[in-house]
Amino acid sequence: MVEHAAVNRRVVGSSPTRGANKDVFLIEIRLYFLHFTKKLWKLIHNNGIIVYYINSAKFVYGRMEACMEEKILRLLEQDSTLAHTQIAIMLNITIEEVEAEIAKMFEKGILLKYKALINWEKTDRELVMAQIELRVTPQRGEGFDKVAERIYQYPEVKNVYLMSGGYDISVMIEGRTMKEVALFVAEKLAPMEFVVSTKTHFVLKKYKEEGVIFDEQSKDERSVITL
Amino acid sequence: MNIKDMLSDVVTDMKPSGIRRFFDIVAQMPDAISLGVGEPDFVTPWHIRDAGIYSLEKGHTYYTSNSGLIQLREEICNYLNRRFNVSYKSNEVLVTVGGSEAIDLCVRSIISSGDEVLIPEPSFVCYTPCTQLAGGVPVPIVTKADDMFKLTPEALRAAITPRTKLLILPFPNNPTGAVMNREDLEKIADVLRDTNIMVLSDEIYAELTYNGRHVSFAEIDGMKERTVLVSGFSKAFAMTGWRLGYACGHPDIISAMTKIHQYAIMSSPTTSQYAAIEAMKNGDEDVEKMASEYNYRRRVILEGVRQMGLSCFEPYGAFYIFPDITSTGLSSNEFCERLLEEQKVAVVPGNAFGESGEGFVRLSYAYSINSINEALSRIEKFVKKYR
Repeated sequence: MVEHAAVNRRVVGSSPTRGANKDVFLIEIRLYFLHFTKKLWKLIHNNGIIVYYINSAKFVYGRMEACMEEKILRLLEQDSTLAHTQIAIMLNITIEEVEAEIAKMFEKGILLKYKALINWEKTDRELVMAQIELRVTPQRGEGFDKVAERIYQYPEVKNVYLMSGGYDISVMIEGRTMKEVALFVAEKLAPMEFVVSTKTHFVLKKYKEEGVIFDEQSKDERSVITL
Repeated sequence: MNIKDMLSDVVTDMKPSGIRRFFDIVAQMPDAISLGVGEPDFVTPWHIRDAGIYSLEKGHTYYTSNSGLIQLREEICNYLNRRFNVSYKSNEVLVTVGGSEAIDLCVRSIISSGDEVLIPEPSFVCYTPCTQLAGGVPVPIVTKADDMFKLTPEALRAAITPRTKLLILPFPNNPTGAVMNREDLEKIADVLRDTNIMVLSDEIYAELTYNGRHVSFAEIDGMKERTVLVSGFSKAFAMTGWRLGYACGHPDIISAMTKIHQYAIMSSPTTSQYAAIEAMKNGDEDVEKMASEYNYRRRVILEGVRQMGLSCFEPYGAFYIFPDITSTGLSSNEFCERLLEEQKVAVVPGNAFGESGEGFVRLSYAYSINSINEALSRIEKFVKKYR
């Protein structure tokens, strides 16, 4: 398919992702010979790539800006205390739109909860964490989901993941002492009928969690003024 | 012996910065919160730092060729082609100690005694002294807020004389944040086309534009030959301390610049060059992430400044905004000194960037959103008091 156009043409369209109607992006094309097939065009479009068509041999391309939903999530992931008004200014949309997007994401179960990241080691509270490797027998008709459900109901259990590799389920447990954690494994997890084996690893020190480095000094080393 | 008498005339005649006094006051207030810095707050992305460390582990601790590692120069060519659609060959690239050295070399390679250099102002502070050190005559061209601090073809035409040898194009601009789009640059090119005026296009902020891709002056039809494109790693890749930049241009100019570089510098830092190869090859995503973060802050700070009643055009480049503070009845220097004393916020007076910057201040948004918000609320209190 060959298409000719003499001048620059600017195509402005809305993002293909749902709930991102304000997220207008720009595809600037210098159209001399546009020989994309519709299929290829769609592929590029859906994968969020902007193509600057320079001449018959060259393209400049870059990622399309993330859709509005993702942009809001990225901001909240960094700092969930950001005010909605602030988010609106940052993303150049109205506060009503921010609120609607956030409400929708809670409704869809994309956003679950806002919480704080705490370095408990700096407090007086004793806290022991352990990662338990569980090998289990999946349940007929329910697979691993039923197994996981039996495990994640315990409030001591912080994370439960289905894993690939040498074991099946990873369980993160929190307790006040090592003994408390060990007893929980021995008395609650190990006896479950589907559990084949357990392997307990205690966490000795946390270096980084949720993308945050615990001991990082964030002092601004820059001079107060540079031109 | 009076050592002062021993100094060269040209250095003695160089004007000290107009805001020396302000700098001195700032130096005594280390606890001030600042929007005064002209460098990214991000640390260099880890994979780039790691590449530098790895080069040390491998023992790459020698001089490189004068013009820089061939692999780096090739990667710079690929990068410029990929990101900005300008094509250079590796013999048209010189790796320098920051963009600043490239500016100095370019001016010294082109300017003879008495040649005039056109410098749009407000702009970065080095063009005038570099011109003077080369024996040239700096000719400022005032850009105005009404024109969004762009260089207009009319102003350019009016400044050209038979002695004009070089035009500096400092866009995206420090301190104003102004950008020149393709149409703006084409108008400038039309004025230059029938002249022998060379262009030093300082595109150090090229990656930090917020209304579409930056257009290089070298990309404008027929302008590549006369253009020396200067850029570097500092702003785009958060690599200020690595001191690495580059110049691209006609092989005759690049080899002239290399001659000076060879005697003054020998070669740019080797570790930095290895790190820069990694930046050129695998840094696009970092750049886009940082640019998007700057854009969020830009909107916050612009909104904040306008909310407090200062007029400010919307800047689409770099990481500065340049609000008009005349409504406070204070001069740029007074504004900055009193803001520092009363609210402990450091910002830069606009006149540091040329006389035409009087009546403005430069706020940098290379700070976290929290710092920006805190600074904005203090500035607001201050402005309310004086308006």
